[in-house]
Amino acid sequence: MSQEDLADAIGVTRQTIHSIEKGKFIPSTLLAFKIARYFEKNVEEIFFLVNDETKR
Amino acid sequence: MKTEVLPSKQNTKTQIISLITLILLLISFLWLFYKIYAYREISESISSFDSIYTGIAVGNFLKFILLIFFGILLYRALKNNVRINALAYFAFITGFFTILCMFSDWAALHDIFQGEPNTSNEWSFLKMGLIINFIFYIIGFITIIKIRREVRTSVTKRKSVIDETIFEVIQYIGIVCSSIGLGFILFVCLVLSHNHHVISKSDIVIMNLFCLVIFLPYISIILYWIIKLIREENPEPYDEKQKHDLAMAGLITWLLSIPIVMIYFLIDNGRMGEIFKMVYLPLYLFATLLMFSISVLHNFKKS
Repeated sequence: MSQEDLADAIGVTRQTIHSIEKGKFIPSTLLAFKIARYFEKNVEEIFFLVNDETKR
Repeated sequence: MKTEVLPSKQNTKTQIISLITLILLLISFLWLFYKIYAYREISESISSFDSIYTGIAVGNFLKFILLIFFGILLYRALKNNVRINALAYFAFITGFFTILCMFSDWAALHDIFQGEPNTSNEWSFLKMGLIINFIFYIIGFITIIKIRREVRTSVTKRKSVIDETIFEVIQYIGIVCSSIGLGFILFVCLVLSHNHHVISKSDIVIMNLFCLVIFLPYISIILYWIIKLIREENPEPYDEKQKHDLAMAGLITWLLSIPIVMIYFLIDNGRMGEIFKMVYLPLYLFATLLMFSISVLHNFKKS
């Protein structure tokens, strides 16, 4: 599946998906849930905090 | 949202239009050489004007038809989400100025034919028109070939909110229009400050009309996008990342506009006077549009 396919499926641009994958853009809660639902996973299985973010 | 493969009938129509446009462009390009020959003949002898002008008029008519087809081709490419590069946006702008050059060329040739004593400005306009036409033909040729290649592969029809092409196109056109506008304002300021021309109300109106013409490509693409959104009954014009990029660009533009306007006030210090009154509004609009478009594009591309 391509970024474009995922973008079309959840109603955002391919650039948004690319930015999320690269960690350059943090999706909203709604978008995170849409992505998780598309892959039939829990949100925590797809999005997680890295070590330096938990220290803040 | 499911993606649909564009029916082959749409592809065929776009291919036919692109082929017609390509043929018209090649003929117009060859006609450009006739124009160069014609201008040389006219500069040597005005009496040859009548016989040569018919050839120029036919070439202009052909160019007009070419521009119509080119506009239709770009519209179909945007509508069907064909991926087009930055050159296509530039072709759109140069095509627009090619239309303006047709009118300026006609006015310049008219003055030359009338036997005006000093026609150096008119010849400058004619030469500038040739250069703009040449640039348009080269960029237009590359754009048409690119569109034909892209249409051959299957194209998916997508809603505007997921379409990055228009979002990117708008920023590129904003950058080009605002750069041309700023260059034009600088040119006007330099000319008027040297000539000590007394500025009247009509000068201010004409100046702002010229600036509005420069803005027209940007306004056109925005209107096209708004109409597309309305037809799709789409309540959301942007996705969340685009909103984020626009918000950041708005903040950067606002922050940068303050020192820029302050610098302008300090440099001016009352010296420009009436010229300042004439150019302030278009200067502010073009400068903020340039900063905004660059910021949006930078945020869009960097991720």
